Amino acid sequence: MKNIKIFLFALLTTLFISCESELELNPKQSLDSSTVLTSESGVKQVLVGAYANLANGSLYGGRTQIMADLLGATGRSSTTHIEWYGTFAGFGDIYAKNMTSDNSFAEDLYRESYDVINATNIVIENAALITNANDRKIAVAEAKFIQGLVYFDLVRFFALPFDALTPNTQLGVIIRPKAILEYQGVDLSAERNTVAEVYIKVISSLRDAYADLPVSNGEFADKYAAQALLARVYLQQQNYPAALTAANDAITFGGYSLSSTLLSAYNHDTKQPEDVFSIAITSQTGDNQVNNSHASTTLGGRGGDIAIGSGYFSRFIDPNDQRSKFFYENNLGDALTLKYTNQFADVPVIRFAELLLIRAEANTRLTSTLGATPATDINRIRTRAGASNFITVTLAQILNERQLELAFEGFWIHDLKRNKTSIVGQSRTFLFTDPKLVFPIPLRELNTNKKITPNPTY
Amino acid sequence: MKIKCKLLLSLIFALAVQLISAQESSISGKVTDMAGLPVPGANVIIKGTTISAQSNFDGEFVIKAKKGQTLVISFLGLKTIEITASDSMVVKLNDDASQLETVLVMGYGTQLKKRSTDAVSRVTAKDIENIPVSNIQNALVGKLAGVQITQTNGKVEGGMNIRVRGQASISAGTQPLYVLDGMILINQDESTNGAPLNPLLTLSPNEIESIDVLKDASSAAIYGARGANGVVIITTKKGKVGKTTFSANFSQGVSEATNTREFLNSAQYVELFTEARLNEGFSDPTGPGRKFDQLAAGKDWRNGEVDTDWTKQALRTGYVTDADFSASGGTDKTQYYFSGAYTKNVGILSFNELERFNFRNNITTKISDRFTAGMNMAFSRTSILRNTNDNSFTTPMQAIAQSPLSPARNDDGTANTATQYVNFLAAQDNGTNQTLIRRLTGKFFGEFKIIEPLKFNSDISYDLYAQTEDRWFGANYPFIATNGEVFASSVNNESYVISNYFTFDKSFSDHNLNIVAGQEFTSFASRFQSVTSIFFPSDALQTIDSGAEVNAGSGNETDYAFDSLFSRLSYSYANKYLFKASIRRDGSSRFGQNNQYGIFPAVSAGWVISEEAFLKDNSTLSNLKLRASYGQTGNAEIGNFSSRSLFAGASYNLKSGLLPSQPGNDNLSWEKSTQFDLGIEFGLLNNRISGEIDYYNKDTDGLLFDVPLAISSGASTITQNTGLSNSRGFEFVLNGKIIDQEDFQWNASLNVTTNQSKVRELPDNGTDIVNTFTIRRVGENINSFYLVEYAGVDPANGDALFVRNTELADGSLDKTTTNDYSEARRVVSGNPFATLMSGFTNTINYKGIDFSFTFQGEWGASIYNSGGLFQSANGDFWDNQTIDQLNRWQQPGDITNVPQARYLAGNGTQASTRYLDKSDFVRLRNLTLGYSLPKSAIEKSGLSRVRIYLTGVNLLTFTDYIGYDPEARADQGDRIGEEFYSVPPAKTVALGVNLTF
Repeated sequence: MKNIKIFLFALLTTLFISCESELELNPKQSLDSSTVLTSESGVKQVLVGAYANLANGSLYGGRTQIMADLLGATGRSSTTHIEWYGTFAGFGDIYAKNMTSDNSFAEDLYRESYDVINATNIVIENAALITNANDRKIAVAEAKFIQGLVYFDLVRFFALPFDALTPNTQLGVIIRPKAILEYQGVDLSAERNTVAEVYIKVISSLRDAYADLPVSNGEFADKYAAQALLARVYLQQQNYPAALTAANDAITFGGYSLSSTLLSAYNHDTKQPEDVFSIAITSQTGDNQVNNSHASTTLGGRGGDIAIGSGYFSRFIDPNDQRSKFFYENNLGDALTLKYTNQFADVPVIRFAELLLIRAEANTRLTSTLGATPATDINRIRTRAGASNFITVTLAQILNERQLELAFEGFWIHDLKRNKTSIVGQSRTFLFTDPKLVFPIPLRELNTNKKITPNPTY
Repeated sequence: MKIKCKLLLSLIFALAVQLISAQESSISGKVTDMAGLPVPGANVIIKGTTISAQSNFDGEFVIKAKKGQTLVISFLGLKTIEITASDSMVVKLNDDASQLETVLVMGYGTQLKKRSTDAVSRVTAKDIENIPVSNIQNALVGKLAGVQITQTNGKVEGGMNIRVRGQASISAGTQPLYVLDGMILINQDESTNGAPLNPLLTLSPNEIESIDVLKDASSAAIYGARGANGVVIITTKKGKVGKTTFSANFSQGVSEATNTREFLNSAQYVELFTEARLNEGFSDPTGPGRKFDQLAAGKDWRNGEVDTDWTKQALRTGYVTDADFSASGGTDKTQYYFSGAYTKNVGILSFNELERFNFRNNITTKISDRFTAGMNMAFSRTSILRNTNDNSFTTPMQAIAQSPLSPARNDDGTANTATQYVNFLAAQDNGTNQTLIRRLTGKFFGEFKIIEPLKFNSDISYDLYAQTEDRWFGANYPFIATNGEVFASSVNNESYVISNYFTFDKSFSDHNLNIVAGQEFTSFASRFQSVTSIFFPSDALQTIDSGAEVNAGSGNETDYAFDSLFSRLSYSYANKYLFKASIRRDGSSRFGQNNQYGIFPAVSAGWVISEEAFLKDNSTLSNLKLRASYGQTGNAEIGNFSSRSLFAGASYNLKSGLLPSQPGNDNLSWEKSTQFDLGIEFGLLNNRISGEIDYYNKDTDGLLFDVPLAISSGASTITQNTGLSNSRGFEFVLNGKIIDQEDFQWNASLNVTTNQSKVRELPDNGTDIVNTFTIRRVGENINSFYLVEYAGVDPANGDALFVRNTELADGSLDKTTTNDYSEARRVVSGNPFATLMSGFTNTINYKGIDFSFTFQGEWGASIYNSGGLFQSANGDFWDNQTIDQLNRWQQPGDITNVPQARYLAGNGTQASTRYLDKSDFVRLRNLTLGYSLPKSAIEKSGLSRVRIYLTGVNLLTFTDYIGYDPEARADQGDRIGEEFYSVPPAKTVALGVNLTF
């Protein structure tokens, strides 16, 4: 009888006691969306997350800059400003201007940009959770600054160039007006907005940011970073009066100055007076891809995937110009720029020197001297580089000075396009409107977005 | 509640231990074979009960039975007989040809094969012992119908891919569930270098008695939500009644790569690249100080002073050492098995080694007539020297990209670092990568006979997989700019399983009924941590403490749990009509909140026609059985928290932040496979020829997909149960005793497996899911290569040509060619997985000589060489080229498949079928020749058996595949069917000796 009792007890226990409560497990490295977007700190954390995303290697950690130089290079050994020696086929195709729609680097830029856009939309839509009105205003303004930056590069890379002489109704990129959190059973397809519409979005975002950002905001975006970026955008639109006003405002009130030497202008990990906006890289966060592509293996890079080409050296007229010697050789004898020798250094996005170049160019084009004469602005840069000064400067000299000063910093193709300059490439000549100078809308997007139109020739 | 639940489960066990019962009378006897030699280890069971005993070393047994009861006496390979119990009985067992008395191991019990309605493939120790491979899965290749076993590549720790009846899942796990002596094994890859590390290489093949692979729903449904990929049941060796038997085995072998590829030598390199540069208007690299001089690093390439064969730097002769020892035996109360094993495998790949110790102890004791308890315990220590993954410059196989003009080493012996790409030798000279796995698996079990046909089993098992990785990068390691870096990681994966179940087993007249019902709780937890430090004062200091800055660290945990109830009923009538039904209810923490529990039923039936009166005792058709099964199983390998909408940490400039990390899906659940199986088992000529034919058809619904989202939405994929796949095929097994004489036996076994795994439905109304080189498309294979079709070379100008394949107005494809890659559309162009597999094993015993070999073949798969655009690119860049690139187009009229050499022009280097090749192969997988010394020669030494053997793996390979080897696939990232600087497998020959005493 004893056995029977035990048997019954065991049977009942087995069949009726189960461990359902043991199934309620929670992830330990992630938070449920529902808990994040219920608190002020949650929203603020997402804003920091958006900056973290900007520091991704595919964005301003460096590949955005690298690709502008690769795409702008002639690739001819006699004229190219950079040589491509790397093995990444996707970069090689950008350099050769024979990309296919599955180019992984173009795809990364596109995807990461929209991740940033969604994160910033989340911040903007949930900003009401931030109780302090001033904090709320700044958070929204930072989110808008980031959107302005990202949309501007998206439209420059993925659309035919803005031309002030046309209505710019060519397709730009998708503007995502709302945050997306719910993905299940939702059709997320959308057609691209026109280039004109994207520029309107960029400018309105940056104007709002300029209005609401504080003058000083640590390593995050501040008021004059927004103004400086606006100057860059207006210049790209060939809107010289607006570019001049914005650049002059940032120069006058931003409190920036040039670093005393070329060496001190680069490879630092705290904000310097010359830095208008940089991406902070630490040994813990961020991914310095400009270092990766430009530096030797002993300095943390891949050994010199990108080396300085003869087409850069041939642009110097003064042999004493320190920028012509601002390089070192790797073990293959290739000239590597000294701009990126520290893998944990911040990556510059806007330097003060660019503002001087914008003001000089706009003043020259408008034959004005707002703030300073073009020669004065240019000579500030040349003096720092140890180069002889100009008494007067021509537009051509200013544009050349831009290339000397801003090479390898992500300006090359965009300057060629806005100046309507052709690229005499290895195999053929590319007009500034050549569709091969535009990134393909990624195959990955074409496959999943039923409404989107691909770029011509891809 | 949490504590209570576990407490109660343990209590059941504790209670059962206290129960003791009375003695009964006993019968003794002796079991012999027809020649009168004792049969040790024979099973003696009182018919209709579970009271059993085993014969000892002298064939003697004692069983608690009364005179007149019927005893069932069986021994593997001998014919089971039923005999009335009497005092001092002598039982003679006949040879059994049919293997019908084989006992199959299923979940929570065993079953005689003749009463089974399941599709199960089985191997036993003798099929896999002494094969010189370092993991158990590799020893099974070619021996199991319906089971495809593929090693990723030739690294000693490399991943294994096992597909039971094809692949049903696309994004969820595809590997079977491994169950060792009733405990579910941890099989989670914990490698941190991007290349897989096989977690089951900690098992030692010498401890294994048998492996049963459950393939159909009837057998696997008892594992419910985890059974859909098949179940591999591993049974370890146990002691047998009799005096202690010692056995020992030592072997030593050498290995080489199965195959290597030929690359350009120096003169050919100079010729091709000079031509490629000049064709595109680039400077002549032969000029002084130009590229060839740079590559030669001070050597005179013009005089042929340097001609480096980089393959020889990467691959080497390997060595395999195996030594194992076991002792087993027991009394009728307690049986024990102890074993120890040592393996050392110096891989064919430079800097790749594995060294392993295994120890096991299996003990069972009868505490009383009604209560049996025991413990299986094993621990192992596996130390592995690893390289970086295939997609890194520092992995040895990427050395084949280096120019033959570059010396491997400088005159002073240091690695030459002036190479085109980073020289892996600089990595090996200045770094190490050591992985250490300590594993403990144990099971504590009790079995209590409650009242005659009813017993209760309770098992508590525990599996600990503790792995550390230590990577040291010296100051001169490539890409190290921090004067040294050290990475140390540790992961502890723990799993415990508590199972309690009742078994009712009764035979009355012709009826045989077996019912199992129980409960099981599984808990898994994983804890990972790592730390990196940089800036070291000396290369001699290689631990975290010596670094000046701790610059990275990681710590994370994850877990899952299953809560299950299960039951199974098996019934047979007169061994003629067979029926089985099973059901399992699984709840899991992995499933979405709307779908937390699933029920998995299966039914099966069999008809043993040969037991019918009209066929009984027919010796021509000696066995004929039809069986069919239908049921559902699940695949719960969907990720631990895939259903949740999540944000994860994303910090910037040392400030904490959050970003969306995963879109949520509350409906997420297991994948549901519904499988139908129809089988015929037959035996001819008194089962001298026997075989099985199975047809299966498996629909897997609710297929888990990381459904691609428009990447402009801020998320890349969402995990959904959407989509349907179908897997079907035939399995055919034929066994024959070609010669069956007293001192000369020749057995042959052939298995043939076909499998077609097709996509039936996809998300978004069947929208194609396109990856880099592959596609999932409705109506096509689970994965298909999706590539632009290469059309060779324009004889007029040397341009690479591609087939347009654009759709014409009439729906057909435009088959004209173009030299503009962007004008060509991709097409489905091959299957990464074999559709026909076969194994053919022969075993010949002649007096003291034994000889066996297994051929294995696979057909229907292709491999895409994604390194082709670097290796076979008609001189597009400085990478050394495969020798076939010398056949490039040179002048108008040249007919060739290799386009004109054009430096950096991308002439045909785009992704296309140019780099896709069929990988059909037939391989002499194993061959063993052994000689056992005659008993008379060894008797005096006290040994009972001495056998000397020569054995080999992968000795011959017949294939037209152009790459390294059909089993050399990329080990980094989600590269389905790709080769990318992958290591070919080893072919090994070993000489060994077995001793038994």
